[in-house]
Amino acid sequence: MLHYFLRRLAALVPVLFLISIFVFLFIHALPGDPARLLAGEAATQEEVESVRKALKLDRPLLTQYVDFLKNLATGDLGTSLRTGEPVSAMIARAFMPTFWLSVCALAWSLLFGLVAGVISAVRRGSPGDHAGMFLSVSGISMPNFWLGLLLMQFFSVNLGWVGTSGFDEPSDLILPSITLGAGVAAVMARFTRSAVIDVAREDFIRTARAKGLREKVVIWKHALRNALIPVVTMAGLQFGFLLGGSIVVEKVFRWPGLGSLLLDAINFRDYAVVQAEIMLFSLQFLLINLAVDMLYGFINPAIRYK
Amino acid sequence: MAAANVLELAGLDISFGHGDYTFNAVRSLSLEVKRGETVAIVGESGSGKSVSALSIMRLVEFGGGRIEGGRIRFRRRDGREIDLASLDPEEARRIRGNEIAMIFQEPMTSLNPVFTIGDQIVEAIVTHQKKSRREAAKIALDMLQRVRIPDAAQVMKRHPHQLSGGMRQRVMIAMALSCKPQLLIADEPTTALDVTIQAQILRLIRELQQEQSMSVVFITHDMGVVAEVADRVVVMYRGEKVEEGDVETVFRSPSHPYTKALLKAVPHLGAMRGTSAPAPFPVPGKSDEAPAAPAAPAAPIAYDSEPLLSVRGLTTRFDIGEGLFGRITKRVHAVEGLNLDIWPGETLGLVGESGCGKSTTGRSILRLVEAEATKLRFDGEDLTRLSKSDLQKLRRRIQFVFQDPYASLNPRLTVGYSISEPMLLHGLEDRRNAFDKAVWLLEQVGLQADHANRYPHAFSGGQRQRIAIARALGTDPKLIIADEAVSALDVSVQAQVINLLMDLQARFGLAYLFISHDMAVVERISHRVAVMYLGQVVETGPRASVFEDPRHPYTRRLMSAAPVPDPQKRITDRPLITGEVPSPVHPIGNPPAINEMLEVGPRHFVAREENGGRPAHRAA
Repeated sequence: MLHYFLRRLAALVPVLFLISIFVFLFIHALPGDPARLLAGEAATQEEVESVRKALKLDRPLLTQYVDFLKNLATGDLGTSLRTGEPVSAMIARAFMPTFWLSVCALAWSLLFGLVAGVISAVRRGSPGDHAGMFLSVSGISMPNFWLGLLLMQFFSVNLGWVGTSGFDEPSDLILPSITLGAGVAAVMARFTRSAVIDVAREDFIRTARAKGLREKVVIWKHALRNALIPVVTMAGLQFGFLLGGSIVVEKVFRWPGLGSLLLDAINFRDYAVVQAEIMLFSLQFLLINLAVDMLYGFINPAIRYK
Repeated sequence: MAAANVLELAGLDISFGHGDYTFNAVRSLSLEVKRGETVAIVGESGSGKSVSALSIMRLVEFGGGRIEGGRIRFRRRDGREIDLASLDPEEARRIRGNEIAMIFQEPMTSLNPVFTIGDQIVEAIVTHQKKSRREAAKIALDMLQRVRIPDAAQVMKRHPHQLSGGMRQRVMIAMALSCKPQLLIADEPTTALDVTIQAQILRLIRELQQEQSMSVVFITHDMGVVAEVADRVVVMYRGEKVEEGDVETVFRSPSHPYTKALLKAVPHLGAMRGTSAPAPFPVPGKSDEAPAAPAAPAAPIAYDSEPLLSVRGLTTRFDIGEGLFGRITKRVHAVEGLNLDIWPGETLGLVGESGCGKSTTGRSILRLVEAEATKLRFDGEDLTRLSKSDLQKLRRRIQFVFQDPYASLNPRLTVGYSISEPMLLHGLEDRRNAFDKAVWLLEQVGLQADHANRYPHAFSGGQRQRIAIARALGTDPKLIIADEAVSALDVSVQAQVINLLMDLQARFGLAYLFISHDMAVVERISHRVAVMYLGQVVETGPRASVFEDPRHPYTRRLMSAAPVPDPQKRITDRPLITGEVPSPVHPIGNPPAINEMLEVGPRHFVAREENGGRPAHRAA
């Protein structure tokens, strides 16, 4: 098990290396010139060139890439082209707000999705099931900026229960995490429902009933534990998206997180910040996937790795 | 309710579906089970036997079934009578697993993979008895020992996937009996198991039944098993009881035509004694889909000519990796140094138990798995090097028919397309001709031309297996590898498909490699037989001499374990083996020894040493 984990961990290195190449090439292929943006619209070509030189953007791409890689290896993420601040400090500041937002969103949506999914599965075909699945489709199809604005209008503006934007106190987490989690909850509910329905057809569920177990135990213990594999897979993927993909929600709620940071960095062609953030998102994604794979082994001993 | 009875069904009706789609699975079924008695319910798939059992357990409603009428009277432990059919669901749950227990056909999937064996048995105990988990664990351990599981304390901590099928079925039995039920319902409990394991499980059930003076309802399609276990027999056909009687009467003088047909279709080990050629099953008159049996047997096999297929040193190993870098430390020696000859027009039966490498052998010949051979000749050509074109030729002239007729046809393709696909793949016909040929082939296997445009779901298991055979015939093969091709079929259908195979052999001069675990079927269809054990052949020879004079102890064990469909030949003193079968896994650098074969009769060879490190066996 430990061997497997270490092997998988080591395998992340080449993957991250490949990602670094793609990230680097992509960002330099983007139209737009950071030197021009920084020097300003009115600057002459010479001024732009001198800015370019100061930012060391005049060197060949390969040299720049090697530098980037070297710095990355030593843990130095570079400095922002825009503000001159170390990128690591900017990310450190933005990380926790996004982390809390993602965790809250995931926590409620997982819990809700699981419970709703299991209940729907058990009452398959009932009006409750149909209503639940209708809600779920709505949750998946509703754009989250719209949901965010609706919630904000109602709870912040009309009722004044919570603030409209920013992250100053824990209660500020409520609306953005509801907005962010709605889609996830809907996906999880559908996924759990179909996973439980599949497992309910298994022979060992019939065995559990033949033992005379209460229906609650049959479903919540025997069926759910086995249904968890696809559910956890999906949850891992969703969590990865949440960590990196909360850009829209962060924008709507003016959340001081990684999503807002990334959006600004892209607008300003702030190469160092974009590169660092995308590398971070990739690493998170890979680690979450690894964690999910390891989790499989705990859920189902038959897939315990050597 | 008679005092001696534990269970009485009266006029039981069970249906599925609603409105126009209502299907009456069981119609006015009545039967009774006395204390300590074993009643076998026999029938083919769809006869309603399993549904009846599930309704006694009140499990049928979880599968969408309904008890429409009738009574299921049951005498409880305290002597009170209740009607299970009208019992409140919560009350029924309390009886389920407690006073009536059930074991199922599929030991591999009937245990929950995520909980330990101990937990699953303990759960059954604490549900119905006022016991602490510790007390329950003690009972569970005791039950595991009583079902003869070696090292029971360790097994308590294991998960189901760490146990073999036979061991899992023992665990199921231990779990079912942990609350000392009055009645055990066993639904095809040994159908998925090897014959030697089956014999042990049947014996075990019988012993435990006597210990606990329990009644058993035994549901099976296997007349051999019925003869072995039953006191009385109930025969079901299309949802109705057609015959009932004590086991000897039903076997000796069956009264209903269906029972007669069923008994005739049962392969009978030893039925071919004194003959050397294969012979079709006697199928009674109403064979609506079976073509007529071949009038005359095919020409005798010319064993002095060159074999159609000749393989030497066929070896297939699967690596098992361990450690940080997945270093290979062990190998599964699935097939080891196997020699095989098949002559034109001949059937070679390859028998053995699960895990012996018989299926891998078939796959290895066509390189469906990575394998190597020191010599491979087919149809007069040396194909040992096995270039791409060699393999292509081999795969055209050798075709496969697999076990599961439901899984081996693509549900989204018409049957006609499925049959023509191999012809198109090998570039033998253009699309139109291939389809015409597919239609012709359908007629050859006893189906109709207009079936070509239908999809697989419209066909029964037996019909699908005919379709698979038609598909195999499309490329004009000389050899068909039939891997457990009739094992999933009901006996009467099985008999028809085997007859079809023989008929096709006579008409097209086909050779078969017939891979099966069923000794009686192999005896029926084979010219020659090879018995496989731990990846190697331990005995091979003409069918008559191997079956009438088995020399290898393993062959003898296989033959004595096969249930005999004759209640008067019931064997009660069979030794009860508790251990696991030896494993074909060897550490690297320590491959198993290759058997040396001794000739003990004309073309009859026996391994000198039993592999697996057993003492040397001297051929008589």
